[in-house]
Amino acid sequence: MQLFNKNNKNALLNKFEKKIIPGIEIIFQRAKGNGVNNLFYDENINCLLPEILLDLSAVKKYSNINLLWFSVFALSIARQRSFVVCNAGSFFSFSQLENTFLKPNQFYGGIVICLLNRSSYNNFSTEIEKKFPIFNYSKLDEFIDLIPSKFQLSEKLKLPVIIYLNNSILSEYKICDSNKFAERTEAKTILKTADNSESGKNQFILPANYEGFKNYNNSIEFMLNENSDNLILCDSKAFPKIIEKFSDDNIIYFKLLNPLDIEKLRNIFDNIPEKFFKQIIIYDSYNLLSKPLYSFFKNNNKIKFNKLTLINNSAEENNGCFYLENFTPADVHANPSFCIGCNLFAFLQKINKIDNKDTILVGDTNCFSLISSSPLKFSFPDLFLIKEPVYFISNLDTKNLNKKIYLIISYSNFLNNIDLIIDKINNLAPKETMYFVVYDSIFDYSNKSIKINYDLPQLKNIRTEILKNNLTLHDFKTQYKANLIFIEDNCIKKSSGIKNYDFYRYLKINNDICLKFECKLCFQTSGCPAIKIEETNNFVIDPVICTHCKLCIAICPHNAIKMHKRKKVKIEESIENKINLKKFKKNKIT
Amino acid sequence: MENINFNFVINGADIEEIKFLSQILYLSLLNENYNTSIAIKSLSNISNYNFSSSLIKIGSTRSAVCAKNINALVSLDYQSIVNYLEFFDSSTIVLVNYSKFNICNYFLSDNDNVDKNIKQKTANLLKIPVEKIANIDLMGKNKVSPNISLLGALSAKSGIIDLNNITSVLASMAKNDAEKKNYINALIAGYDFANS
Repeated sequence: MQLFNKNNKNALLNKFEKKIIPGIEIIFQRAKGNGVNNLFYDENINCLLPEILLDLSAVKKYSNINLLWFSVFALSIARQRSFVVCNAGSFFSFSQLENTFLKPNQFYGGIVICLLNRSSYNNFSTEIEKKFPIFNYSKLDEFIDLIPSKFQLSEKLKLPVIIYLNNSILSEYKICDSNKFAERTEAKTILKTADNSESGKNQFILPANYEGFKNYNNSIEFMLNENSDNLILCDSKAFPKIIEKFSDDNIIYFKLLNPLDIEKLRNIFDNIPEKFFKQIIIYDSYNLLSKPLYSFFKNNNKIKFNKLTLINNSAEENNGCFYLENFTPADVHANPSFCIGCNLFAFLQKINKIDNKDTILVGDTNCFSLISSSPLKFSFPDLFLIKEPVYFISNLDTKNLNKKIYLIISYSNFLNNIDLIIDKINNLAPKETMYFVVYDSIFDYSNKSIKINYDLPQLKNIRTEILKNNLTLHDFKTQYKANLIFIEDNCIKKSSGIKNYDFYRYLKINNDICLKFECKLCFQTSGCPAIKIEETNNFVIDPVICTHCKLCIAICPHNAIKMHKRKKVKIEESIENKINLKKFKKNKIT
Repeated sequence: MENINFNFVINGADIEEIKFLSQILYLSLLNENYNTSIAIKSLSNISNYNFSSSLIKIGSTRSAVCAKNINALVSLDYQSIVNYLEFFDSSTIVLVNYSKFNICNYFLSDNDNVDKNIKQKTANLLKIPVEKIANIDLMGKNKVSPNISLLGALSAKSGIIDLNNITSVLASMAKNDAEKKNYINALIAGYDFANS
């Protein structure tokens, strides 16, 4: 790779000629295959690779990095994953990252930043490594299978994950001889024409003799039924499964199927005599080779076949596994996890003290992670987990009408249906009042990503009265038999401005106990912003943010977290003061 | 509050650092309704280094400069404490930055003698490895002077300043959240060191 290795002469050659970095193309394609819609790259890379990124749609270049972070942040709020490739480290600075991502905001993660330049990495290594997860990779094969897991990690930690690619990665794909380079580009042009002829609207139409399978296992069973002359091309991921069931006569194994391997393929097929295969099966788990292989087999005169089958591990059934542009996996994003909130915890404890026998707790999936992980779950006999707890009402048993019901709701669509809900409650006429426990952030006007109807007159009244009274836990009795309880879900608001400091008490995590079990319940399920991981993997509570709610103490199953107190020292009176006091006393006595 | 008479001295080679520390102390003392007065002056010139000190007096406002007894001394150097030995009492609290090489070490390299001299006068000597405690490496971009942990130790030892009071002052002085966090972490580290 021309950018990264000064000692390499070929690299220097490429630098002056300004030619291709094929490694990046593969990385982009792989990221796109994993449901990432937003791909960003540095403008410097664009100068070096004018031609390579033309094929990929939805790849945006950036020049202003402030705008980039802003847009990436906005995308993460809208639960979209984005992948950023940076070359120059000069304008990729720690302060910008800190400003955007380390501030207590509603950042949902889902960002992977890929760094290519060694010098850029050295500039901020000391600062960034402590706060952001960073991974070094020296081989592309190791890295590329892990892309989805990195996105999941960043969504778990709610931090951007930074990947530094070692120089040798891109030099793997360096093309040393100019001849080979020309071959490759020719192959590419052929590919393009093939596409244009067969698909008018940039859509790849499946050939007639084509079949796709969603899973390996189904496909293998299918293959075993048709015992005939097959040619199997195989990915490293699928190889161990396939080698168990097939004889290895006609299996061609690739360590990683990537576009550059077509040259190797040609070499292989040059040595094979002319042959007729009934079926050619390609196990390509990431859909990288679907297009080029098809064109390759079509143009090749030596090899003839009845059927071409491409098998992919992660595509939809209807679209076939052939082409990756229409690919939208279902579980790209988990449910958005709200900050579960120490205030909700306090509220639940309050309910538990008052009455816990005749109550029913119903939470949606976001709230339930708190309830299920805390010891409170033993004190409530009736606990329900429903995706949309509002519809719990429509299926209410007549037995439960005598009990108090708390519906804990964290999603904003609740507000749209509030009229319907209240009507239903009136029809049912329960004996006890029903409580809707709602997060205060539902009323957040600044959050434009979620559209809510604020025009309902009832809601406006509620909002204004709550604001007037300045209440944190507020019961608002409507004229109906339902009460709304609002909970401030943002504890960070307190810590940033209005918080009264109390540093004489502090919470401490005993890491000797904690690291034995590594349950990470306090860090992950509570979602408390005060709990952080140090560089030595120790868990630490940030004293500045901590509000002493003791949620973490309740959650921790191993009693690793405890409250401590600091000593206070009284003022020692000086000798002068004592003399003055004695005088004063004497005067008083006399 | 009338019966309290307290003299702080902040001593060191860096004038701006001393001004900064005394500013924080002064503001937090004002918050607690003490009568306070400050005198900042430079003592001597040794090869372009200005040795300066600030004296903060609580109680009477008549004379800030001539304090016979020093109740607490916060020093950024170790060996320049010797200048103040005359004014020490048996109960004076001495808090020293003991982390880095100072200009004083160059001239007076005999540390053991200084130890002996000070221990004859007071038992309350605390050598604080300030830079170790405050974890400068963890601070990130918004670095903060680690000497703030000396003030934390002062509040732990003397008890004249409330810990929460200083933190609120520091929080108001900080430019952003990261700086605030660093200030408070450094302060608390000093407090814990003095208590342990």
